[in-house]
Amino acid sequence: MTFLQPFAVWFLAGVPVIVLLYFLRLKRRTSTVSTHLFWQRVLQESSQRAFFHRLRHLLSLLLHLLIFLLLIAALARPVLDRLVGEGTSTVLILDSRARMNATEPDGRSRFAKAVEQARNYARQASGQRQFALLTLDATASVAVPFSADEKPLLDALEKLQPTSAAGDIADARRLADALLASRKGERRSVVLSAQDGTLDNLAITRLAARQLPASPETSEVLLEVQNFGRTPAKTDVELSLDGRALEVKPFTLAAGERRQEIFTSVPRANRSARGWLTAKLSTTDALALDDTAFATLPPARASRVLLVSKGNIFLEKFLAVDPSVKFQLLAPEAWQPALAPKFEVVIFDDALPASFDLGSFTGNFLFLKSTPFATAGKPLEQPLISDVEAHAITRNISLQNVSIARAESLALPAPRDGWTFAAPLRAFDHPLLITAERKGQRIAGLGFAVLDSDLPLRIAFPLLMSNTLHWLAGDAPESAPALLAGEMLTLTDAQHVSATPLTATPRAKDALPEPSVAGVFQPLHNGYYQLADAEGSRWLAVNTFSAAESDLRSTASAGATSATAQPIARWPLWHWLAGLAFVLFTVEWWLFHRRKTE
Amino acid sequence: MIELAHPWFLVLLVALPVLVFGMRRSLADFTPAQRRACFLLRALILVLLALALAGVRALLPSSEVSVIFAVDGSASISSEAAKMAREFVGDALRAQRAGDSAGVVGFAQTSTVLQSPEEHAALAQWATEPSNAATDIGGALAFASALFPTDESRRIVLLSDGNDTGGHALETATQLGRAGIEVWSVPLRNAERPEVLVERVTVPQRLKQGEPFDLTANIRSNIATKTKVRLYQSQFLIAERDLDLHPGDNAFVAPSLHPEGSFVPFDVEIIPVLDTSVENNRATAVASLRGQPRVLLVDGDTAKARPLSDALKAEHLAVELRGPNGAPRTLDDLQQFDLFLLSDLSALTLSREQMELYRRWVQDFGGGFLMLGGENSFGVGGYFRTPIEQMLPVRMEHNDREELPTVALLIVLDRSGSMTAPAGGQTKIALANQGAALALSVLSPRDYFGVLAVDTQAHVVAPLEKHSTREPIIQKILSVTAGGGGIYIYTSLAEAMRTMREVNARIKHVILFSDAADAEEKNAGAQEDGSSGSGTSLDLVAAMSAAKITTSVVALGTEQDKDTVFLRQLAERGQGRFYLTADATTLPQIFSTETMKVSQSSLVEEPTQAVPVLKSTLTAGLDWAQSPLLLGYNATKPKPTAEILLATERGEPLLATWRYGLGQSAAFTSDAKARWASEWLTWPGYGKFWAQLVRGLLRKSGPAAFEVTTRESGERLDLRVDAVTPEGAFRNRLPITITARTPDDTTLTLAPVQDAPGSYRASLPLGKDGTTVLSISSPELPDGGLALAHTRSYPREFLSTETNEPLLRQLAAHGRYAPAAADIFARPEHPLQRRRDLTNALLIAALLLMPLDIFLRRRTWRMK
Repeated sequence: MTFLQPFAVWFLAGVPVIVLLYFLRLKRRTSTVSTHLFWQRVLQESSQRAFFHRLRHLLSLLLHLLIFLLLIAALARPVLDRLVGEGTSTVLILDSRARMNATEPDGRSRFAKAVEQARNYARQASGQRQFALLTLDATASVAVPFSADEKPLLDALEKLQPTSAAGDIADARRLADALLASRKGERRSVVLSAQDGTLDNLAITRLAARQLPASPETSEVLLEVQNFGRTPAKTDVELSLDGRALEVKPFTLAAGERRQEIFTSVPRANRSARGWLTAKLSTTDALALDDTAFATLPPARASRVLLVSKGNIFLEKFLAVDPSVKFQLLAPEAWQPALAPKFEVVIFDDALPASFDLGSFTGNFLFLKSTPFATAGKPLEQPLISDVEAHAITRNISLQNVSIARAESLALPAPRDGWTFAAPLRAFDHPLLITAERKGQRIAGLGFAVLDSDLPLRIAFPLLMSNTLHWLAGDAPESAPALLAGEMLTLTDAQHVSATPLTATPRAKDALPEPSVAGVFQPLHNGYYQLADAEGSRWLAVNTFSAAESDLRSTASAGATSATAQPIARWPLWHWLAGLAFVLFTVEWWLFHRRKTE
Repeated sequence: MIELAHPWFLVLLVALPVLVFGMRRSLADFTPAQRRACFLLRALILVLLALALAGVRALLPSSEVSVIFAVDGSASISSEAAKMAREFVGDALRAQRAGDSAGVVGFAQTSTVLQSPEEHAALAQWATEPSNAATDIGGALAFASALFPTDESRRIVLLSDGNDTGGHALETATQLGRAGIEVWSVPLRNAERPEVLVERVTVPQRLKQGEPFDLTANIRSNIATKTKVRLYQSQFLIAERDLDLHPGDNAFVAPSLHPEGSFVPFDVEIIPVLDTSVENNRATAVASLRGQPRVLLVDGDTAKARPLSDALKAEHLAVELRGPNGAPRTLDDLQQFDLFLLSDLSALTLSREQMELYRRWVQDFGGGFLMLGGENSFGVGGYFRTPIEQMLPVRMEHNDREELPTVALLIVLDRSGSMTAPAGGQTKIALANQGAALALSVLSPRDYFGVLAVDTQAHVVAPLEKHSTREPIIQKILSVTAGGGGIYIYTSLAEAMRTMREVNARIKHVILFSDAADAEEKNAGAQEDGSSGSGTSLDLVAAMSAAKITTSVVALGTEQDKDTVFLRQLAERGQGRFYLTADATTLPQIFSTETMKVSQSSLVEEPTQAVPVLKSTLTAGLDWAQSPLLLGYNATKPKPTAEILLATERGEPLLATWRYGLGQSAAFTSDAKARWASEWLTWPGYGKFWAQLVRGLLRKSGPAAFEVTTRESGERLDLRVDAVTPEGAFRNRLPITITARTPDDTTLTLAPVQDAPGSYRASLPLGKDGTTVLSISSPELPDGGLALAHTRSYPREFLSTETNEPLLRQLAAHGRYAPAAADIFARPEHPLQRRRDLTNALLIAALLLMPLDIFLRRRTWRMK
C-alpha cells in the first residue's frame, strides 16, 4: 500500500486529544428535587449498571477514534492497486476507432467498456498520480493534458464517442512516448481498447461509383463485401439510390472471403435528386457501422450547346443522342456574339465568324476545320495522327489509323495575354488539335472537318466529342466526392460543410444541417455531408472502408501491445474510507441519542 | 463558482434528516442549546464529508498563460536565425508573470521537448535536432499542444521560416484554433545570404523516339550572379553553359535534344559563383521515349561482334555495341534498351548483382534478353547456377553423352588461416567450398571427383572416386573450415599426384586453389613439417603433366601479391589455366567454368545444321534446309516449359525461348560470329534471321493500357492507375503488378487494390531522394505495360530558404503574427477558469471539527 498524501499522519496528533476528551468527567447539572427517596434507589441501580456504563463509554471512544482514523486514512490517499501505484505519469490511450463501435456478446459496446475502464483510472488522479488522456481515431490527439484532477478527465470521457475512422495505434504510442519523455518519475501508457475475444463480422469494404467515360449518363458501381468471420456467411446487399431500391444481390462468402461486384449501367440521378447511393447488408452482426456504405452519383447537368453549322449529320446526331447535352442548331448567318454567354459551349462547324480573335468574345468555343489559330503553310494531305498527348480531351481514346483526307497546317501559338496553348493531337510537327485556356475560358480548334475523315465511323468519335464538350464546359466527370472517415479536406474560402452527417433520406419537413464547417473538414462519422460553395451544394460520402477496423477476429489487430489496461477498482480506496466514516458518524449519532453509547 | 466531480454523492445528505430524527427522539441529557450546537456541528461535518466525496471544485478566474515555444531547427534555418529565435524566447521568458508557465519544443522532421513546461521557466540549454532535412510544422504544433497543463490559457508560439515540408500545418493550426489553443507565429528570417538552386527540371513525360524537345530548368536565385550550368544525359555531360542570373526565377533551356533510348535521365547541375546550400544545386528529370527500339549488344570481343551489330543496323534497329566493361550496372542504364544481347562474355566479368539486375529487368520491367553461345558463354562461361541461368529457357548442367571421356577431377583447397577473411557476406573458404561443390554438380556420375583441403597437411574431404549420391559429399565440402598457416604447395601436389595415379580416367585434372599471398613450401623440404626430400613444386607439376595429369590454378589475390608469379608458372607447367581474382564471390563461377572446360561437356565443336522444331514468327520465312552449317555450340538442356524453335542435329537446343515474368528471354547456343557461324555470315538469311529474332524478343510497347498519376504524400508515393479500354469502358478486376526500383536499389512489387470501377491504388515508401523507376503491367494486357519514373532530386527542405510569411500569417489566424517578445505572455482575451480541488480541504476541516464535536458533547452546559 502506498500513501499518496503522507502528510495526513500529522493528524494522528488529534487521537490523544479525543482520548483526553473522554477522560473529562461530566459535571452533573444541579437540579432541585422534592425528595431523595427515589434517588437513593436510582443510585443503587446505577452502581449495578456501572459495568455497562463503562462499556458504553469505551464503545463511544472507540467509535470516534475509528471514524477519526478513517478520515486520516482517507486524507492520506492510500493506493492498493499495483498498476496505479507504478506510474506517477500515466497516459491513457482511449481507442476511438471504428472497431470500438462493435457490440460485445453482453450487449455493451467495446467503447463503453473502454470508457468505463478509463473512468476507473481517472478517479485515481492526484497530485502524485497524474493522468493524460489521448484519443485515437484517424490520428492520435490529446483530449486532456496531464492532470492531477479527475474532473477534466471525467468530463472529457463523458463527451467522447467512438468514431468511424481507421487509425494506427502506433501513432498514439508515439505521441504518448513523446508526452512521457518530458515527465519525471515513473512513466507509463495504458491502451484502453478491445480486450475480449473474437467477433465475427460481415462488412462492406468498398462502394464507389464512377461515370463511364464513354457514356457519362451511366455509371458503374464497385461493391466489395468481406466476411471477417470464422464460418461461411450469407447476406443480401441492397443497392439504393435516394432511398429507392435499385438492386438486391445475394452474397455467400466463405470464411475470410472478399468479393467484388460490379453493378453496370447505373443511371445518373436526375437534377432534383441528391444522388445518394447506399449499399446495405441485410444481416446484422457485431459491427453495424460497416454494414452500410455510402456513395454519391452526381446528378446530371445537361450542358447547353449551340451548333453553328450549315449541316453536319454526324455531329447533329451525336449531339441529339447525348443526354448530357442540350443543343440548338443555328445557321452561320444567324450567329451573333451575344448568343455565346447563353451556352456552355458554342461549336463552329467550318463557320469561323468574321474578325474572331481570342478573347474578343466571351464563352467557350469549339472550331471544326476553320479555326482562329494561324496556319503555317499549305494544307496537309492525308496526315497521320502520330502523337496523342495526355489531355482531358484525349483521355481514354484510341486514334490509331484514323484516316484524314485533308487538314489545316496549324501552328501552335506562343503563350500570350494569359492564354496557354497545347496540341493534344499531332501529325508529326503539325498540330491537328489546339486547345487554348485562360481563366474562365476555353477554346479548342480541330484542324480538319470530321466529314473529311473516317473519324465519325469510329468508336473514338463520340468519346472525343464528349471529352471535348465536357472539357470546354468545365465539367469534372471524376468529381463525385468521397472521403474516408478521418481524412482531411482543406476547404476553399467559399466552401462550407455540414458538421453532422445524414445516414438516411430525411423527410421533406426535416431541416437539413447547415453547412457550417470552414477551413479544414475532418469527418469522423460515416454518412452524407453537405458541401456548399458559390456554385451550389453537393454531397460528400464518408465511409470507414478499412479491413483492419472491420476484422474483429483477433484483438491483435487492435494494436494493443504491452501496457494494455488491467481491471482496476472502480473507486479509489479513499472514497470507501471516507464513505465508511460518514456512515459510522451518522450511526454513532443515533446510538448516542438512544443512549447506546456515552 | 463550484462544480462537482461526482454529484450523486450528495445523496448522502439524506443522513441529515436521520440526525434530526435522532435528536428529536434523543434520550441524551442535553440542554437545548447543547443539542442544537451538537446537531449543527455534526451536520456540518457530514456535509463536509459528503462534499468531499462528491468532489467539490472551486472555479477561480485564471489569467495565467501557458506558452509553448515551437522552435524550428531545420536545415533551412541559418545559425543567425537560430540565434535570433533563442534570443526571442529568452526575452519573452523574462516577461512572464506570476503563475505563467512556459516550455520549449524543438522541431524539424520530428519534434522533441527542449524545455519541459514549468512555471516561471528560465532559458535553458537546448539540444540540437538530429534529423533536420525536413520541416513538419503540423507535427510540431500537434506535439506542442499535448504539453499544456490543464486550466490555463494555451498559446503556441511558432518560431519558423515557414518552409513546411509536412504539408498539413494549416489543417493542424485550424484544428488547434477550434480547440481553443492560440497559435502565434514569429517569422525567422535568415540573414541575407546568396542562394541559388535548381527548382525543377522539366522534360516531356512521353516522347516519340527521335522527336526533338526542349529541356527546361527553373533556376531560382535571390541575387544577381553568374553560374555554370551543366546538363547530363544518362550521367554523361552533354552541355555546359554560363548563365547570368537575376534575382527570382531564371530559365535554362536546352533546345532540340534528341535522346536515344527508352528511358533517359537528364540532370541539371549548377555551379554558381555565389551560393550557400549545395544540396539543391542538382535536379533530375526522366524522359520516357517510345518508338524505335534500342538493342544493347555486349560482347567479350567487340570487333568480332561487328557482323551481328551491322546486320541489325541494316534492318533499321538501333544497336549499341559495348565491350566487357560496358555491361550495364544500373537499372537506369539498362532501361534505355528494349533488348539485351549477351554474347560470349564470361560470367567472371560480371558481378552477381549485375546478373541479378538483368534477371529482375526481364522479370519485372519486361525487358528482352538473349544469350548467344561461345567459348565464354553458358556453362563454360561460368553461368551455371547463376541468375542468368535462372531466367534462360535452358539448363547448363553436365552432359552425359556416352562418347565424352571420363574425367578425374581433384580439387585442392587452400584452408590456411587467411581463408577466414570475409568476402561478400561470407568467408573466403565458404565461397571456395561452394565452388568445389558446384564443380561436382557439373560432372557426370561417370566422372571421378575428390577434394583435398590443405594447410600444412593434406586432409581428404572427399576421396577421389565416382559419387553416385552427391548430397553427403557436398555437405562435407561445404563444412570445410580454415585452419592455420599457409597452404603447403608441394605437399598438396604430391598428395594429388599420388591420388590421381590410382584412378583410371582419360582426363586427369587438378584444380589448385591458393591464396596468392600465402603459398608456402614451394620446394620439398622448404618447411620442417612439410614434405621431405628434394625437388620443386614446378618440377613436380611438370612430372604430373608428363603423367597426363594437368593442373589449373585458381589464385585469390592480385598481380602484386608475392606468390602470383609462382602460381602462374605452376599453371603453365601443369598444362592448365590460371585464374587470378581479387573478388572471392566469383570463386563458384571460376570453379564451374574450369570444370566445364576440363570435362569438355559444354562445348560441342562439330558442324551441325539448324533444325526447325516449332513453327514461330521468329524463324519463319527462312529456308532452314539450305542454311549453312554451324561449326559448334554450347551444349544445354531445355527447361520444361521452354519453346525449342531450332535444335542441333543431336537434338540439343540451338534456339530456345520462353516468357520470363513480364519479359522474354532466349538462348541461341551457337554464336553469330566467325568462330562457329563463319558460313552464316555470308548467308542471305543471316540479317533477316537476327532481325526477326531480335524484334520478337523486344520489350513489348503497344499503346499503354493505363494512365498513372503519382503524388507524393509525406514520405510515401501514392499511385493511382486508371485502366480504361479505348472504347471508354472500365477494366475491372484486372490483376495489375507495379514494380518499383527505388533509389536505394530496392525492388518492390505491389499489387494495387481496386477502389473504384477502372481505378486502382497503391502506395510505396519513397526512401532516399533520387529516381524511382516504376513499371505497371498486367498479365491480361501483355503489350499494354507502362514504365515511368518519379524523381525527387533533393529534400524539399532545400527548395526554399526564404521566409514563407503568407503561411505563417495563415497559421496565426487564431493568434497573432510577428508579436513582440514582451507581448508573448499577454493576458488572454477570454480567460479560462482554474479548477481548485477542495477535497483535501474538506477532509481536513472535518478532521479538525471532529474533536470539537466530541468536546461539545462532553462539556457541561449550564442551564439558564
